[in-house]
Amino acid sequence: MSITGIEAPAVEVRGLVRDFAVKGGPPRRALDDFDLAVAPGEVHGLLGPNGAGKTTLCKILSTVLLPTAGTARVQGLDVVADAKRVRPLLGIVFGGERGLYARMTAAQNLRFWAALYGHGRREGRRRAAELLERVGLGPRADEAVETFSRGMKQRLHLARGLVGDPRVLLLDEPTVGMDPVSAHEFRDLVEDLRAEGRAVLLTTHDMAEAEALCDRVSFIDGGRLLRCEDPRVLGELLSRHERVRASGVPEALAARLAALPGVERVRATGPGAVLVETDRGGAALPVLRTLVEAGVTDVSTAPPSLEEVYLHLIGDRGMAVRP
Amino acid sequence: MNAIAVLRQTMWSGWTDLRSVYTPTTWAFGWMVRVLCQVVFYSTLGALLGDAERARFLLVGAAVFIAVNETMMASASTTWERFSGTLSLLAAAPAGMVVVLAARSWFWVASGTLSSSIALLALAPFFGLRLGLGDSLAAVALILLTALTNYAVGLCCGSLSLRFHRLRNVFSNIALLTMTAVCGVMVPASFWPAGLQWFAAAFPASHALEAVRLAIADAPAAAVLAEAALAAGTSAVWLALAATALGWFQTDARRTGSIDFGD
Repeated sequence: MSITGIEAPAVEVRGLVRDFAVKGGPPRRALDDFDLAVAPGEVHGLLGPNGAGKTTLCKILSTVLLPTAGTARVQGLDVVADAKRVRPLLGIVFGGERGLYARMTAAQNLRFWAALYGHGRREGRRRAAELLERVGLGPRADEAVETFSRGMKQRLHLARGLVGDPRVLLLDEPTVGMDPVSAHEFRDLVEDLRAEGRAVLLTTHDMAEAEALCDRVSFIDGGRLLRCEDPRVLGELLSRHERVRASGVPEALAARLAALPGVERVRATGPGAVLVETDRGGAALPVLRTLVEAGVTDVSTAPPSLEEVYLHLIGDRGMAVRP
Repeated sequence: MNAIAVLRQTMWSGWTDLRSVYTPTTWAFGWMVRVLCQVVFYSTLGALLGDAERARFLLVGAAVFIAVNETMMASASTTWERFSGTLSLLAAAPAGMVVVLAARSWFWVASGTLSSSIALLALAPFFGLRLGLGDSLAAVALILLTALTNYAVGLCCGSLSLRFHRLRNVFSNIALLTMTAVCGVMVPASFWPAGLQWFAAAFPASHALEAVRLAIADAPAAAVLAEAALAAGTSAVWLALAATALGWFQTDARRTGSIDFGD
């Protein structure tokens, strides 16, 4: 809570810039005048390709990296000037198998981190046991982490991120390596965290995950914020680019559809199946009429998925990473 | 911040690290056999020169230096945090990384003291060194002092290794070889020019080893304690250097981004 009585945003980033020195060349800009606000209790998705600047942002927020310019605040505290006060407010979870002491048991790992977040012996034990139960690792609490599967390590990562009872969680690709059941349980857990009033900043490549979990998503590329919206609003952005799916469409009919005004392209999605993409509102109507008149009955319209929005905003540049 | 809790958990983490390096069997039949062979090798060189005094000098030097050797491993184990991917998490934790990095390699002190003491006490009779109970206890206590005080040198090298990661094996090796040469381990310190003797005096090992030699030679307690105090004093300086290097590393890492998530 701020001194004015208005609750401070859980995360507030303004004009954030981060340059990295490059030997023998100009500095590489990882974040470029980046703005972001995450409200308490909000689950905010950060979507972008590799090298977009997502992890750089998380590193600055977690106080392990200084910004070149701009400000970043957590619960109203500046991550540069008030780093020591910011750290207890944050929980950090990143994907992959690293970040755990492999030879220690799950419980020992959590007790270690509990100590680093200021909990004494008894409280550390209590929190470790409680969190291991919460992430479904209670029965494996006393087994060495090196014997865990990747998904189990990921759940332990999440428990570790919660050990300090943080108000803000930075989840950097947290479901990497999780099986579908575990990923589903993880989403339930994030829902619980939201219900507890914790803010979650989630970086992910999993569009379904972002769509299912996030109150808002920010698209980032080349260090710049491209768009920040409710996932459903972003879908509506492309709703004027209505799409019509149909099957049993002969090639000649597909060619006729492509020639209709407002049709951006017609893509074959299978034998006789097409996806018609339009580029203006109302353009889907003549498409539907043409299909029905031609005797095609297997026709549907659908809103674009978040993945399509992502590809639309980021552009199709294959596997190329921005220089 | 509950420093005791951090210290306790860190030491437990170190204990699991030790168990990953050695099992009791590999420690006894791998490491200790290697230690005994090494000490026998150097002591035998002295014996082959036909000089019992030289043999004893080399025996004490080689055995006590095992404690120095092992505690220099703290340099490598300090950087294990980077390999386990916990460095960024330590940097972002409220307790910070200083206590954790300072305490996590404690097991080298324990292992170094034990292996060095066993080597000295077990091999002494074979090279004509008679140690009574009092001498033995004093030697073990001073070997512990040697390990503890040199641990600070290992931590300093470890802190530098975090900053200059690609040179991580260089710092400890240079320090170890320098100490082997000038600290009176194999060659009496008096052999070297005065300037080099002053340089050698900057290392705790010079004083701790001299304290062991004086104690075994039944020198006055004051002389032994004076060397022990010098070892502790120089160690404090190295500890301060280690803390400074660690602070420098953290400041630099925040500026340059040399700590990555997953580091």
